Amino acid sequence: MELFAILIGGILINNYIFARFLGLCPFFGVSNKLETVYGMGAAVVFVTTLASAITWPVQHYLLAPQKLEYLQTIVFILVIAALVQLVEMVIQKVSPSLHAALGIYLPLLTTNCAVLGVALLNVTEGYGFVESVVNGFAGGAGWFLATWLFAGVRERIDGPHIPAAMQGLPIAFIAAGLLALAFMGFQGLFRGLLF
Amino acid sequence: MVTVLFLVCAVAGLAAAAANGVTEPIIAQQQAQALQQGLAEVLPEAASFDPVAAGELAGQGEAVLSAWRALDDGNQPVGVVVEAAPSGYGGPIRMLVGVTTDGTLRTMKILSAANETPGLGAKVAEPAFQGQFTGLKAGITLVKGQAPTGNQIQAVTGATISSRAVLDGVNQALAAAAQLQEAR
Amino acid sequence: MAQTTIAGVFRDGLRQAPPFRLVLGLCPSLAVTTAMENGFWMGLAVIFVLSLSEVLISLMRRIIPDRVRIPVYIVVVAAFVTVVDMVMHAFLPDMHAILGIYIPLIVVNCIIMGRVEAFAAKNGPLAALADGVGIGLGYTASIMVIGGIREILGTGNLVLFGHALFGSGLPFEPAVIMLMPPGGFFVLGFLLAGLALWEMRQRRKTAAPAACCTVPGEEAAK
Repeated sequence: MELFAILIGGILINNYIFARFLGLCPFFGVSNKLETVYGMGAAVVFVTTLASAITWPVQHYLLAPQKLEYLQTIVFILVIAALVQLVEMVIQKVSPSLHAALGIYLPLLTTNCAVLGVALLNVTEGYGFVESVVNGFAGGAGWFLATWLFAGVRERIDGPHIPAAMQGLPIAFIAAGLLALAFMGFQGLFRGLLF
Repeated sequence: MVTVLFLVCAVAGLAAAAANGVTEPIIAQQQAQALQQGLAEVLPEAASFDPVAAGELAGQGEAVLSAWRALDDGNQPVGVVVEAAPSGYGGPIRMLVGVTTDGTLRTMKILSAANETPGLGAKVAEPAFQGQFTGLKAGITLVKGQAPTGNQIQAVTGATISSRAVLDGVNQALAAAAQLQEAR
Repeated sequence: MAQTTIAGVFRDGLRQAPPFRLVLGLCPSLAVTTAMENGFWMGLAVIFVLSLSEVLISLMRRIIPDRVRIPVYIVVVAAFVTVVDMVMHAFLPDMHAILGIYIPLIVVNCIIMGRVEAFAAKNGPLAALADGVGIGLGYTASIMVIGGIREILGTGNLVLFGHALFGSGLPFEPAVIMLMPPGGFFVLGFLLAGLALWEMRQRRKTAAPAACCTVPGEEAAK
């Protein structure tokens, strides 16, 4: 039950884009075309889940027992950078076509705040291993969902009926704000069920 | 090539370790000070606080985190302080609840309600709301839209969930305090 | 484009003013700007990390092998971020609690990695310092503006370093939504639109005189 709460929490209630503001640069970057969203989204989900799975044992078996928690930022980001590099090499070997499709997005994942963000949040929330992995997956999936919805909206926005000053990024931000407003409706979702 | 990377990492690690060595004691002292301040605020009659072992809190409500037995100058018990963190609207609401030996709530203090909605749920951190709890006993109930009587508190208008969460935390803290005082 | 003077580099950096012109570093720009003061301290942290990282990497630029340069940059930046995190925790615990995970997230702030790669790796340490401080200051100013707008509209008051600038608050019912995520998006959207509008007006001003005062022959001769 708690895993379900973490899943729904990460995807809807505390959506990584609309509630936590994590992973915004690529959010605006890839959402002008729906096709690019699928590639980036899949990559994000994959890396956030894996990053959570790897950083958890690093934190709990390496850093914490040695009282080295202050090295968390340095170690985590290095782990993520290495992970992304590894994933890129593996995909290139295993499926060159997939690599051609995803290739340019993977290196960008190292600086995607959502990836490091989810790893750090797993620690501050005190999650166990399974919970961390679920949370990682939820964060990435929520990112994917948000970007996908947003791309759908953006495809229909731009046009002559938008004032010149608003075209491009400004109206995109306003649209994102409206989507964030909609997602606020999920707040208190579980409270409502339990109360 | 790898040596350069390794060297950079080593220096970075050492720098972080050095900074940690300098700042860690300051941080620890600050946290201890903030805690003592909070404890003294919720139970001013106490001269010292004795932390309660985690085992003694087994079986208490989920929101109860830790507790201290409060003693006066003569080492006589004057009450118990319980730290609780019930789940509010957007996250945990941390609080300290000071309870006197007869089970009456002396003072309660919200340490952080940062995840509650500003202007609504966040109002539980205001003195007006917290002050309601003073003098009440275990089993407090909530009323909305009307003045509270007896063992009741009034919820913040438009923030029933946050108010109820705080109430939960307080009630659990009172129950824990009662059990701890019985045990001694 | 390449500035030759330190002052020029600094001015260039200021004008880039992320996230407005240089649309990078969005995550913290929206997350921590619920108050002007938060923007101030976050900006200060970024100035520190950005300028010191740029200087150090500039100093090391000839000895960093190209293949490992990204990991090296990451480690350098992460080390400075770690120090900033600890110093803030020790000396500004309240602000540290408010800024939360966005302090360690400075490491992946695209501004930092972007500038380090684009500027520090190719210029001398003094220029790198000027660039770091310039961009950092521009960033600080920008997020203070965003934070200020959100704070005034969302709380009706502006509290800086413990002083409420408008006494008991401005005489309107504050729009709490401004303090929440949607508000952040709206404010930045409108600010970007405002900037675009201003730029369009500037361009029209500089373009107009040429159109009215030159004769077709003159244009071809130029």
